[in-house]
Amino acid sequence: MRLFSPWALWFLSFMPLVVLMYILKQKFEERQISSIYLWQQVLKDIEVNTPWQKLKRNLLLFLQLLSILFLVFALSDPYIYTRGGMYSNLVIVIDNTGSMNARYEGNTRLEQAKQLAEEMISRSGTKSNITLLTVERSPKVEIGKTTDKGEAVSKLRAIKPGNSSGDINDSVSLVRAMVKQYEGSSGYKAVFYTDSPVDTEDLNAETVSLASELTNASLDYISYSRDNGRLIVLVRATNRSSRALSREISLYGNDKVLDIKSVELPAGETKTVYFEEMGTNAHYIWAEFTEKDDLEEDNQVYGVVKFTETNKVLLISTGNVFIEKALSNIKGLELYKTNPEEDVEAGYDLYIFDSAVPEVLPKSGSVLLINPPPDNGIIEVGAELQGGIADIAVHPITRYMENADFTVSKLKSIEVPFWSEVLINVDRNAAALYGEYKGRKTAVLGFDLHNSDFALTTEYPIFVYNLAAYLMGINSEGRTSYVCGDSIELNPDPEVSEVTVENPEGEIFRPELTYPMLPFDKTGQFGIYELTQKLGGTEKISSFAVNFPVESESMNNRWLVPEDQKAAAAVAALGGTRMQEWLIGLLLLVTAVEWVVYIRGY
Amino acid sequence: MGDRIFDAEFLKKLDTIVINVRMMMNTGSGGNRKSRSKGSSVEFSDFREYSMGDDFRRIDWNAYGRFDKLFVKLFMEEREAMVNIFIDSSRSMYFGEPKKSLSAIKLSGILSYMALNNLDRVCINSLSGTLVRQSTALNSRGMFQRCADFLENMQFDGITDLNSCIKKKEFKGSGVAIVFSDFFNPGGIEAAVKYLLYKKQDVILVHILAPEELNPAMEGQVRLLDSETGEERDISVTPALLKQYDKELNAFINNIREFCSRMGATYIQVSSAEPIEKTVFEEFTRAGIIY
Repeated sequence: MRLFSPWALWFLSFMPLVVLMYILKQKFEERQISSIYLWQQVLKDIEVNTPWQKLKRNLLLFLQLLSILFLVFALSDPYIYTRGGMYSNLVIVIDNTGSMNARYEGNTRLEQAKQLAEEMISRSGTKSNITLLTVERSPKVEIGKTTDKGEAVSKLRAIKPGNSSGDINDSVSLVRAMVKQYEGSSGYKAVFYTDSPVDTEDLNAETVSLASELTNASLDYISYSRDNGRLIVLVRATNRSSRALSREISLYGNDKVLDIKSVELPAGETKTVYFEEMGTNAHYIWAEFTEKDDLEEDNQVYGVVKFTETNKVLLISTGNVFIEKALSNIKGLELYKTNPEEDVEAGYDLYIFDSAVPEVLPKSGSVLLINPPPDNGIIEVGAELQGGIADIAVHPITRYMENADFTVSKLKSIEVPFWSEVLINVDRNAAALYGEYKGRKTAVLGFDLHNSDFALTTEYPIFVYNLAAYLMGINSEGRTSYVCGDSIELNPDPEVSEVTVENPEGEIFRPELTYPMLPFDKTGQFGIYELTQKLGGTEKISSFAVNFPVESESMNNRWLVPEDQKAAAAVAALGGTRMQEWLIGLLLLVTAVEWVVYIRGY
Repeated sequence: MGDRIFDAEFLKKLDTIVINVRMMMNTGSGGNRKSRSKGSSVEFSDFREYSMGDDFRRIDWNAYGRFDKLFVKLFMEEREAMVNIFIDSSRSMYFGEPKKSLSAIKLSGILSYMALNNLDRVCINSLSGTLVRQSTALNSRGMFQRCADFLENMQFDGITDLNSCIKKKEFKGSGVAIVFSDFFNPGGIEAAVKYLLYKKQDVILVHILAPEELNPAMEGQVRLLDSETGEERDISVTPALLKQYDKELNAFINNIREFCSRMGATYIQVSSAEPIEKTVFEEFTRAGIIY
């Protein structure tokens, strides 16, 4: 048996009160009689003088106590599990997305779901096969087809709250595939514990909704810009509840408070708050609401402050104004020039060989070959070809170049090596390609820029920027912000001997260094992650921020769930009886009896 | 006492009653009625064997001739009886619906009237506390009005100790003692009855109870208040309790009745709700007080 509202049992404290009232305030109808002589004789025989003995025979009191008992139990809404093992196969799906961290009747939705699921397991038949799934970013089988209830319960209890976004509906097809084998046998039952609507379609399924109205505001976004070495930080906050909220936003640089600002958030509205002129050397910034609310996970947002490192570029050319001009526009880049005759010094991040290649290539650094001569030691170059209209491949490096329209008059015939990818074709001949050759990023431009009008198009500086950014490892997109559950491409430097990722809780992961590297997906925690790349004796540390997926998980989705799927209503429908109605019936009966007794005066 | 109890209508009723019945008396100073006691009179009653001390003038010698045994002739003695009416005038008698005191007064009136009609002497005694307040001895029908006045002006108040009251009464000779009471008397009535019998009184106890005493209509929590002593008693009335009361009441009545029959006294139990005529014709006749 289980009580839906155990708090109602506090009303039981009224019972002694009623008894006390009977003892203290026994109201006597005063009646004068001729003589109590006879009554004394009667009372001598029936000792009813002490209060307790008076109570002993007081039918009304007992009826009243009984009715209180029934009333209190009716209020506490008991539920008796009549038969548990109605289904020999039980599939439990628990939504473990970020929104399940929201508060639900003094608990979190997830904890409530776990409790309900635990009860469900405990009253399933002894031979029931239990399958437990969780849905975070994608469905995950926690335990499959076990008859060991204890194991299932311990697995259930071990479920940790997730912060990622996800769709419980993704699990429906998985569940359908699972239950297919059960059909025809003694049946199955799938139970979804979630806060968002599930389309269970034709499954023998039930949805236990844990959706509830939330008082919640979220910090959606943090960003910054630099102005004379100072930061201007922008924070966006949204009120996701149905009433206005006032919030205080604290801004931190690393772990130091930089500023605090108040913001009034009308219901459902988003506001942007600026923190201006923050002088900080922090490598990450984050903002937080001072006030707590029903979903605390979205009350902070993190961002990484990027430092613009200077990359050294050596241009080996007899003079190429086009490439010089294009590179000079790129911030954080120092351009050095030298003649092909001179020795090539080591220590540059990028070497650009324009129409000439030295006999000995530098040992490190990326390489860009423009109009490569034969015997360059990197790619096979053939005879000069007649050019034509350039055809640009779709690729991150050629981004924003969709409308590029230029021609190349002459180009080198290049044999496309296995490690490369073609970026630009001219008459089906590769005119530009890139890739990693012997562990260094290498790009080849198969024509002299002077033999093309490419340098005159608006797309040219974009292409040079993208190419240089790729070659120098500048994250051109600047992506340092992710949401929980995202898979992150780490892209370590080629010579790196070890890569470690430290999550905000200090846990250290060591992803395997393979090529291509598996994306890093342990992003369940929100906060700042540190990526450390060991390169010989030095370490290169960079950070990225992982935030709570506010867009999908901070929704106040109380209205999205049908009434009959509410947690209380749903449990009752499962092989048990709700006692409330019976108790109310009994209560009425007792009250009627009480009335009769009172009228008849027994 | 408010309205007169003995109004014209009642007196008319009295006449009808008296015409129909006569009172049985066996003591007193030679009245106008046949007494049950045997004695010297012209009206023969019975024979009895001679015993020492008998007046040998009454020996029936003819009988001696026939049976060779001495027999004494017994005659009905006609005497004037002394009728003492005792009324318990405690507060408890002033209770009941109708009041027990009213029944007592009316029945006393009827019995007095009948007695006076028979040329008997009547004395009304009002018992209150430990005192006896008695009327003058009345001995003619014309004095009934005084008797009625005395009865009507009786006060019912306080506690009455029947035993000590009655013991204070002096009796000059044998007679009839009629006691009207509810006998809710902690000391019982035994001592008084014994005293009366010792004083050669023919004892008639008329036990008057109110309907609510015979069948208490109570329910729930009741605080009983004694009208005489002011004593309180809290009870919760249950069917079981009422049953117990009924048992106790019967035991109470039977106790007195048994005691009376043992002592040769007459006991009549009357409800104050009963019509006077019914009481007189049925209860009194059955008890043999009147015939």
